[in-house]
Amino acid sequence: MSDRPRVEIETRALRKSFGPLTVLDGVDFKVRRHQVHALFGPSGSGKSTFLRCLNLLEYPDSGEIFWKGEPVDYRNMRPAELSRHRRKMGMVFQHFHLFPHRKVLDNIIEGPVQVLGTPTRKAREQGMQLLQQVGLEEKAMAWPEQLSGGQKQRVAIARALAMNPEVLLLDEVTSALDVEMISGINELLTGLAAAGMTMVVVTHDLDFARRVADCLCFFDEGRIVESGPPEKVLDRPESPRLIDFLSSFQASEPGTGKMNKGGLYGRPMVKKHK
Amino acid sequence: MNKLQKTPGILSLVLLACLALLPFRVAAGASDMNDSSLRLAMSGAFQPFSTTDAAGKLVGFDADMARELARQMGYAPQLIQTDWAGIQAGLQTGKYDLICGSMAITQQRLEKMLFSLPYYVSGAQIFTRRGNDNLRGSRIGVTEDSTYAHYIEEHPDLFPQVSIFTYGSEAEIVAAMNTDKIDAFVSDRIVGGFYIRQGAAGDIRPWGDLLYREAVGIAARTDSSALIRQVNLALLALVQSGTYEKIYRKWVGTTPDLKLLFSAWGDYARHIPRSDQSIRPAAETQQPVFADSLSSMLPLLARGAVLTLLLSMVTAVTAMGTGALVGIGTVSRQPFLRRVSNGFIWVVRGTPLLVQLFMAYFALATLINRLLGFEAIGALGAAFIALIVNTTAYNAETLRGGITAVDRGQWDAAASIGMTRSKILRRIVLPQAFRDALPSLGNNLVVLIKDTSLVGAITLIELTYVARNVVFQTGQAFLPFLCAAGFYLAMISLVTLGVKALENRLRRSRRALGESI
Ligand SMILES: Nc1ncnc2c1ncn2[C@@H]1O[C@H](COP(=O)(O)OP(=O)(O)O)[C@@H](O)[C@H]1O
Ligand SMILES: [Mg+2]
Repeated sequence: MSDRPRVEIETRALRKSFGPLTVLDGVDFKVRRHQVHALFGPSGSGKSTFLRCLNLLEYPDSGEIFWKGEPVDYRNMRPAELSRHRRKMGMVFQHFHLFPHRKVLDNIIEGPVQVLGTPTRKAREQGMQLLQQVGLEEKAMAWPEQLSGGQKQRVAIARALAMNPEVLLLDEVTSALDVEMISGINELLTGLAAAGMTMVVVTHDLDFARRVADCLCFFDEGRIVESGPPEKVLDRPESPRLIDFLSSFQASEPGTGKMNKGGLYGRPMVKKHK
Repeated sequence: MNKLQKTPGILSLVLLACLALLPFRVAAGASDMNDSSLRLAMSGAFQPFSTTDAAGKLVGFDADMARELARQMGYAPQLIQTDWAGIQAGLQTGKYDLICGSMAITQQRLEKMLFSLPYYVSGAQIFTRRGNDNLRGSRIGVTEDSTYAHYIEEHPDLFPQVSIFTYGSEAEIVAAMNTDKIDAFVSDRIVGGFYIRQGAAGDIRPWGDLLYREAVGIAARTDSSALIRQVNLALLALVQSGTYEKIYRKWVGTTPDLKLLFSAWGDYARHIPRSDQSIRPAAETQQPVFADSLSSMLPLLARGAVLTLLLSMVTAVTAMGTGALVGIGTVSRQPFLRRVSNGFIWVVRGTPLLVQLFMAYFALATLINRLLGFEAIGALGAAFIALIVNTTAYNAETLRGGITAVDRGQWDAAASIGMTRSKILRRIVLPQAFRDALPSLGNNLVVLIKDTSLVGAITLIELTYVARNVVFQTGQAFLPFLCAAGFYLAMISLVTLGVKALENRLRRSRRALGESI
């Protein structure tokens, strides 16, 4: 389909196991330019691992990754190539992972100065602009521990944006936040999407996904079971798994748009990060 | 056959001496004791006079003499092993009644203690390698607690331009001879002979005559004159009965030179003041003696403190860097580096520092010096090597713990913006690991400062060594140790305060460290 936006990153038959546990069981996926892709599904279905395979924080066991059509030879990459691949994608984590020993602005300019070689002064100017964009310019000289969860996540987003990524990978970025912080972050992400940022969003906030995403992918047991535009995936689900998932989701927390993450398919919620 | 019968002239002289010394009120000595056992102290580290057998029992010439003398005096012998450096203090504080530990009778000691008739005579002897006929510029070994160092310093004619090295024991002196640390040593003639017979030092021979004669006696507190009389009578009885000769032959390996012993008894009769009053230091002289020793020991202690400070500071700074390197090695992606780093930590933390000091001094330094053909690493170098190696291992282990305690998310976040592993370590992980490890690193520093007290074992005159020596020389049991303890406490308090201040600064302004690393 030549009229569709071009593919930035693509995976084919991606597999990954941790010991005996198969986490990714053949994932085929395309990330298209200027589009928002929302991944959802039960806990432990491999969504985070998939994101981490995209920017090679985790190495797949097998399968192929293409960047703009070029195969990524992740099996033997030199550190410089690895660094170049990773910084094409910005990543934001559920638990922020700000550098606690650096002030807010220094968190943001760390990448540009250390990796891209941007002069410190210029990096600071750009950092201040980003802070303004996420609404935190007055916190530039604060320590991360002095910020609220929502503010930390804004800084983390600014830190990712500071590298000028072509794709933004967001892993449950609102899951660790208090309810009143969530809409602010969602607004920020909506704005980024509107500005044309290509995004892959792992989320349990299906209302947000419906509003923002161009494409929804339902993950289950290491596979993409169903994907397509929001209306199709959410309103006319086909696979029994997805129907089951959506009904338990709606039954558990109607109206809030947040799902009860425990107990789906009898799987415990796995908390990976402290 | 009894030697006494063959030397009637000497015997009569001796008997005269004894009559002069020993009023026939022998029973009076019993008032010194409140039970029927007599406590006699010796170091247990002076072969062949006192040592311990496999069962830990004190044996040797002094031990046998102590047992026989006590029995002869009608007491049950109770032998006490105690460190030589504190042996006088123990006597003064009543931990035992007598020192029967090869203590030479000297004027200085006579000011503080009573001595029995000499129970053997030996003397200072130079031992050196065959063919080494000139002592000029030699390195001379002595034991740390002997009077030989003093003698050598007082006789530059006999010992021109020599340097003196002190060791903990004769065994270490022999090891030092065998490893070219020293060219000659001064030791007791009998002791030196003993070690030569042990075969530990094949090509070492006595050199020249006795430097001086030493009469060795049994020491008691100045208020124990009755007890000393009993000892003298018992000694006389043992010599007469031949028991003395039997013990002497058993341990020294030769027949005792009784002529020499008796002439020493004659000296004793001439030189030792008769009455208790004149033996005890007069009341008015006591004060100056005390003040004099106190003021004279301060510069000594200060010198020791300087060395302690130097060792601590240089090691602390160096081991911070090397410890960081090894600590990073333990989380390296190179399996080889990881194994080497972990192995290093395992070995060093699993062996005592004292062993490491000896290995650095006797093995490593010797090897390097022989390879290079000159003395590249002396005692100070060896001490630095051992202390730095030791502290490096502890710092590395501390840092390793700090590094692994840093949240994995920090690695992920830094890697996701394209930082390479080394950059992540240097800029993100290590500053946090260091901050978390700071209290433990400070603790390593405190341990290091205290551990420098061990380098005295390889001839370095640090603070604890000086304190022990001052105690030995002046008999002042508490003040020198008090001074040393105060100095350590001051140093460690400063370090603790410094670390606390740094901790606070990092807590307040975490950037400080991140920027400096
Ligand atoms: N580094 C790892 N080592 C071992 N198991 C892991 C690791 N990372 C994730 N897993 C496991 O893989 C499974 C999928 O995890 P994840 O990708 O985080 O799922 P999701 O994000 O969909 O909840 C889980 O069972 C998790 O425990
Ligand atoms: Mg996840």
